[in-house]
Amino acid sequence: MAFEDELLALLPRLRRFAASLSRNVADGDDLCQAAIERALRSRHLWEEGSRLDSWMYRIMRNIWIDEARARQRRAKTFAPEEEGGHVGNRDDQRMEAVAELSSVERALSRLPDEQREVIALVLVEGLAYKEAAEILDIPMGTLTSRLVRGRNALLVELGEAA
Amino acid sequence: MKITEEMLIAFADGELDPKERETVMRAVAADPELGRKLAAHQRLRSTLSGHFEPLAEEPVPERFKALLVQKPANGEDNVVSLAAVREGRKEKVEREGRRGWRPGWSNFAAIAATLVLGLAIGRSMHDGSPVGVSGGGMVARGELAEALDTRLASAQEAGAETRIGLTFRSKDGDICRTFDGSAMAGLACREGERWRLEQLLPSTSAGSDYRQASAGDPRLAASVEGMIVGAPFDANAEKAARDEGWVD
Repeated sequence: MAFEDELLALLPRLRRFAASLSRNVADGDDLCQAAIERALRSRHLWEEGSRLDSWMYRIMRNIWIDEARARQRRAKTFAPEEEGGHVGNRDDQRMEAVAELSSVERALSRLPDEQREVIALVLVEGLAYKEAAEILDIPMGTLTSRLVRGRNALLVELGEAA
Repeated sequence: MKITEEMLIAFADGELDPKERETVMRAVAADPELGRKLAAHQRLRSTLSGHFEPLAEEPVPERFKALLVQKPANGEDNVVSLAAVREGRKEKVEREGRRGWRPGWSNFAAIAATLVLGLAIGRSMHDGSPVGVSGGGMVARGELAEALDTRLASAQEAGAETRIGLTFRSKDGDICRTFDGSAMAGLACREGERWRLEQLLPSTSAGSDYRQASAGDPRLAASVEGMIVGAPFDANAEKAARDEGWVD
């Protein structure tokens, strides 16, 4: 299968991963677009026959980390952006999706990035611990301890709703 | 044996091997507090996957497709392959629609939650009990074991005591079958000469307050979804597996 076709088939999962890392679906789609663009530019770096999904998850996660760092730098200089500021100009379906994600999204957004990416890969994407650890390039022990802390923080945040 | 939180969570994430799973299941059955913790972690997993799953089922926005289609690889005609991909996706959706399950990540979510029933049955077992305890795990006995051994989903009598649902190959390489009987429904996997019970649910006829516990029960379906490799056996594969004694 051509690189583009394989990537196209992965898009539903990539959008989901992007949304689980981002504040909302709209931000997730921006992240998704950035990841596709970077993947097309650096496709020569992808080893044919290796797993494209892991490669894409890794690209997306790296862009997200870079942006999160830039955001933190900006936050020190400017007042924080209003929550849900992008929601207004989306269509109804998108509005519904945003509303549906909100409690989970809020809880996720309070997690440290290092826990959030683990939660996104394991609980949202359903990857095995080993696959997630490889994508994040961390030892299994680190992955499981972040997972335990992230899961417990979410249980506290979501309370009965979980 | 002390069950660590890591183990409990690994159970909820479907990361344990059958032996470790059994250890956790037994500890959970003996300790309600542990059971509550496990249930909370299982709910968390289904809450998260459930919230994001609709997004993965939405059609991909055109702007992403455009990015990929406007850059043909080595002059290949990508329009044709795009159509093929679309067709493939449509087929996939239809296939999953027919199976009646959403692709889920609540893998083993239902197992421990319904284990208590099995343990209760196991404790009060007598000769006629369909459940026995062997090697620390629960196994099918009597009529249930016989049904699992011999019955084919494709050829069931209307009044049969135990009906067989799906037969499939699990990630651990075992052959597993779902069933629905007069007292309970569940999921059993072949282990040597026996059927190891992986999940038990109250059956449809056990009480009107219970949801229907057939292979269509979402809790059983979630377990199957978490364990299955490939597609469920068709009538031929099921018959061939039975004739070979359910071995690999």
